[in-house]
Amino acid sequence: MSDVRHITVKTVEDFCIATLLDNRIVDDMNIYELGQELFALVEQSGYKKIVLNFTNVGFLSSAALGKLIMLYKKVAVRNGSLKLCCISPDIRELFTMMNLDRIFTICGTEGEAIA
Amino acid sequence: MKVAACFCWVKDFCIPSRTDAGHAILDGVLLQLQDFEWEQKDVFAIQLSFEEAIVNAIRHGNQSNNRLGVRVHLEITPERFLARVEDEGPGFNPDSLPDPTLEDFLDRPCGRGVKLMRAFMTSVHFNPTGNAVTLEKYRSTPVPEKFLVQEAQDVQETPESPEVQDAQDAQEVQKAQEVQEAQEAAPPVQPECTAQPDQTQTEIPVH
Repeated sequence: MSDVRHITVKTVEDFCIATLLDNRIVDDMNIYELGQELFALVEQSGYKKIVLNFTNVGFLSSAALGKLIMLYKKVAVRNGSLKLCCISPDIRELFTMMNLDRIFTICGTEGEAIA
Repeated sequence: MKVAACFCWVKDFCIPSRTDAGHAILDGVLLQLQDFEWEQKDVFAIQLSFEEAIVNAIRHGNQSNNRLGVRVHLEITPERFLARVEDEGPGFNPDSLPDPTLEDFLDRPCGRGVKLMRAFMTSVHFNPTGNAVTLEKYRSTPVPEKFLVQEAQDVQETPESPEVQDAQDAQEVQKAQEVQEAQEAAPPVQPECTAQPDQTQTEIPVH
């Protein structure tokens, strides 16, 4: 596993806000490492309210979507909440076309997500 | 108007079953789409679908066996994207896949690739064996003028109002008489040749 971080984390009240750093989330290793970092927020750090900020993300593959779904399941099992924010119009359309906006709560900004 | 034949990028590749090799091809595709000034929304759709097709061929078709190759044929113009991706695996029936957008399958972490391709491409076609897929995407916005040439059959006279038409008819009759008189006095003028558009496909160098 590389030393490259794929998210930065900050806490606001009892929310964990994780900002994804990669612009293109397609590479197998990057997707795996991103998944590990996200899962650690739930399984190791114990956060129950998570917001993912997609400001930097311009493209992601279906494999990356799979990691997000796995994260959603880990959060759901712990009765937590997972929200996504600052998603580009293209990626938003991707979520809509795949009906994933029925699983994920999608907000326009961080402020909306933690309101 | 139609896209000039010289604006056609055609490439054929055979790559090992490694995703980094596929990404190298995708980088070239993105540069070419940029050169042909495709809109960002279409570029996103092509990037997504082509990525899925390549990854499916490598992971599912060839089982990531590096000894098996993936053949890729690409044709890109300012108007149309076409990609054919073929693996060396046994194939599969794409119609047998569950719909990942249905309630029962929404929370599955995988199985969205084919659905994605069909959602974002103009057409998706699998060969009967199921080891080759052809993706086609037509531009969703008008082609920039710089890439267009006039078709000979597009040249038409614009209809005029009746009054203008009568005046023009009278002028034409008079002019015809003058021309006839001039021709009787001087040799005829040769008509100009209409240049035909170049029909051969020219490969534009890869960046």
